[in-house]
Amino acid sequence: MEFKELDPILHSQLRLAVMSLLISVKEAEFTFLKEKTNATAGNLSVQINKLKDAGYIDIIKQFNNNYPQTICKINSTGIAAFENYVKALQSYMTL
Amino acid sequence: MEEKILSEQESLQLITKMITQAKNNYYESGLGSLLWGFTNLICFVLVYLEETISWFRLPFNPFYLMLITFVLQIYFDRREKKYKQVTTFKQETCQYVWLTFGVSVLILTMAGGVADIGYIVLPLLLLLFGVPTMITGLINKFPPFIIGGIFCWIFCIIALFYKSDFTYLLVAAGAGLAWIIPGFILRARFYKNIAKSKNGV
Repeated sequence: MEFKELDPILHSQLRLAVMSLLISVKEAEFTFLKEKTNATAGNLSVQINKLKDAGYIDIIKQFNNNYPQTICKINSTGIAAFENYVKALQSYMTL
Repeated sequence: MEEKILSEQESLQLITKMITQAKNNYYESGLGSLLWGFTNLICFVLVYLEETISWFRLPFNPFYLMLITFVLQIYFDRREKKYKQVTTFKQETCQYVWLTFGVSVLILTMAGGVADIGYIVLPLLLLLFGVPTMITGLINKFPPFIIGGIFCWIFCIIALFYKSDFTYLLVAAGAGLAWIIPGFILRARFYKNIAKSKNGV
């Protein structure tokens, strides 16, 4: 049986949590991700940028009533990567 | 949550946990439901009174109140957007359903005037009231909307047999049951959630 390699970008607790949240919604604010993952703003920001650099998510920075707002959205590359990651996990679990 | 490498089992558990958390994030203040519910109730009761009481005449068409409600809805939507941290696919679907409902009601009322089919407009309006209400209730698993939608369809059937001014009251009652009662329930739940998050529960 052939083992699929687990995507190292996704195989980390916080990044996987962020991707799992984003795959379930259309888009989410940074504050929502922070609240749901219980991560610190600094750490979350670093991990989100790693996901962005990998091309898995899109980040929109804007102002809402003079307050800065960061909106994150998973893109098609991210969805495909997430699906592949889950398939790879399943191949390990069926051992 | 830290930067930690997970086992396969832990990864699957984390995915399940996060997806469940995101799914359970239902933000609905109930304001739109109350706003349109009361506007429809007031409009149709006023029209009924105009039609049945000879001395009762308003200096304006009661349905113009809908325009004020439309402006208020835009204002409240913009205000609530500030507090919305997330947009779910369910919310997006419901928004499209209500948008198509609004356009359908507009076309139906215009058709009622142009094609002179006024007698059938009110039952059809009740039929339309039931569709988005039922869909919203089913998608969000919110029984008050489901019950409200069913009542709209029951009133629609009754309205088909009563070609009289009584039909206006049926539409008003439909709006009350489909939107006002669920609106109050959503509002209560909304304030409860705010209190919970303030207390850190």
